[in-house]
Amino acid sequence: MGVAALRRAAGLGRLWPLALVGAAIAVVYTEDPVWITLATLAAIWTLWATSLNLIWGYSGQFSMAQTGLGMLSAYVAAILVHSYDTSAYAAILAGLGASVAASALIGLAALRLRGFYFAIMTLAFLLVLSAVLENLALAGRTTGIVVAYRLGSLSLGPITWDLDSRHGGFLVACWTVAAGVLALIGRLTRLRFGKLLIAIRDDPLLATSFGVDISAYKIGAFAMSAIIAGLAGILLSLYFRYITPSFFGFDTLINVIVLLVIGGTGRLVGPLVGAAVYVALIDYFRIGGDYRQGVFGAILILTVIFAPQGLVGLLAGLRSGRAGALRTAALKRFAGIYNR
Amino acid sequence: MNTNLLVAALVNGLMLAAVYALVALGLTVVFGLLDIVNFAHGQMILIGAYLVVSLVAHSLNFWAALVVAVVVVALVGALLERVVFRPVESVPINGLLVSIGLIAIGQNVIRAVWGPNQQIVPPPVSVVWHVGGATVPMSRVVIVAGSVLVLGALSLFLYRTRAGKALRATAQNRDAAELVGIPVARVNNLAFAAGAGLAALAGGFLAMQFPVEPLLADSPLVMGFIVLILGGAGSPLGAVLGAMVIGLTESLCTALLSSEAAQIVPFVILALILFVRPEGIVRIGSDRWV
Repeated sequence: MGVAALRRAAGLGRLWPLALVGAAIAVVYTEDPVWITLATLAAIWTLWATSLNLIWGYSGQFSMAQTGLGMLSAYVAAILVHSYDTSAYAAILAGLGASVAASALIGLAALRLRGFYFAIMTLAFLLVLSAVLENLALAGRTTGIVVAYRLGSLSLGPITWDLDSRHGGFLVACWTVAAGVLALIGRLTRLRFGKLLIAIRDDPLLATSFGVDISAYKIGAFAMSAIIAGLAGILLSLYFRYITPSFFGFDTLINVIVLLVIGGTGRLVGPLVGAAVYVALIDYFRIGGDYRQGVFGAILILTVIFAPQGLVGLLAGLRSGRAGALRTAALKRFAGIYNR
Repeated sequence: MNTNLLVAALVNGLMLAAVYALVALGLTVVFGLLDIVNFAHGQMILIGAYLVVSLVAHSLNFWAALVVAVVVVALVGALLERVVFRPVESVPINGLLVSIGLIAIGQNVIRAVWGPNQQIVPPPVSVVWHVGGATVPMSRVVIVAGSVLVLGALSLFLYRTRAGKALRATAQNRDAAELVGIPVARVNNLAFAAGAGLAALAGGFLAMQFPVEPLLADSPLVMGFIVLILGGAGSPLGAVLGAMVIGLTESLCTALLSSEAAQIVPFVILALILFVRPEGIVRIGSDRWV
């Protein structure tokens, strides 16, 4: 694998996510608020995209529920702290739990259905949840709710790390979470669970013939992706310190989908690359000015038509030369089995 | 129970049903034939509505503007199918992704050309009937009647013309259609253009009733998808039946319960249908929805 070679070359092997945290710390030392903001957002986008990647890229089930699940987590945590005086971490756990529960419900209901129906169900979940929250006084209706809790500080010997600091503490916290999630998923794909997911994605019929309970694995993958989405939602809510349903709406969802496709589905670093590209193009270079959205859409279309395996897939193909080109061609053909 | 309220709710429900039927039919034609879930359908509805607004603002008669809008959007649809959708037709999920890209582009273009503010089309029909004690706005009746006409014409086309038969044949079995010499590529193009035209028509009707703004098509599009699934994806008859269920339910809920409930009830219906009978009211045949 081209990317694996890169990693080994970097000398870190399986511990490569530490490099991400290191990079985040480096950004902190630049003391440039723009960089810090962008890097923080990049971490959150990476989490969103990784969540989608887990259920779509690795399990072959396209889902539009990620931002909805994140919204649920964020709101549950915020409401518990705001109206019920819960402690910060208990609220966060509750939020994540709610997200998992919701995903289990959706999964049980819709995962046995074909791709299109599941996708619509997930979209319906997002829309219904938005509608409910917009009308719920407890959630502040359309004006939203304040996120009153904070992550606090962490003391490691002589160093105290203020996790909420806009000067870098929060940034490092976000990237630690993102790196941890990526490392976990990287581990997962090497374990039986991950390999079975990929097998289910590529040929469900064959997998069933081996006695694999497809629904159970997909529900498991969906639940895991729900936790990651919940983390993304909670970190986002902590970043803005207040939330409204519009933060998690269709526009955000589109951005997550686009940046994952550009980065590369089914690959661990795809979300990372996609998030970096997104933050760089849209927030830093502000390509296209007022037409940013349209430019992004055009990039998506071009990517889907010419490079459906995403940037990471392209790079992997280039790096390994002919073997890569062959594998890329094979992947393209396998893509026909995605979601059918 | 106030009969006037009930009558008003019924009329409103029929109008909604008509619009949803047009939207769902547009989606059905594209999904049934091309296996493409076209999320950008909403943008086409919007462009249809905005074109009507602009043409009417330039002193064109409303109905002429409607026809022009439908034709223009149909042509745009044909172009999009050729350039954007056909290269990815082998992988259905990519069609969905591409349509998402089109949404982003469409939203941007609409905002750039027409701005984010509401624009109102002076209603072409402002007569109001009085039936008993109830008031029935003629414009709603016109929308329903217009939709019925279009549905009738579509039905005639599908069942009485060669092109229509070719379309149905391709929908039933693409390979067999190709074998008997049907130009499948052209049929697909025609189907997409027809779907786009139906979207524009729905947009024009919406413009008659509601102020035109960028969010106008969001609800009709979602309802269109729910109707699509409810009716049995790929079945025009199912789309019409489903549209009536959803449209009337939504209107009656708004009248009897609240508008919040009316927002959520269609989703409840969707969940129920997916639980109980995912293939929808009108079953097409096992090789269609798998």
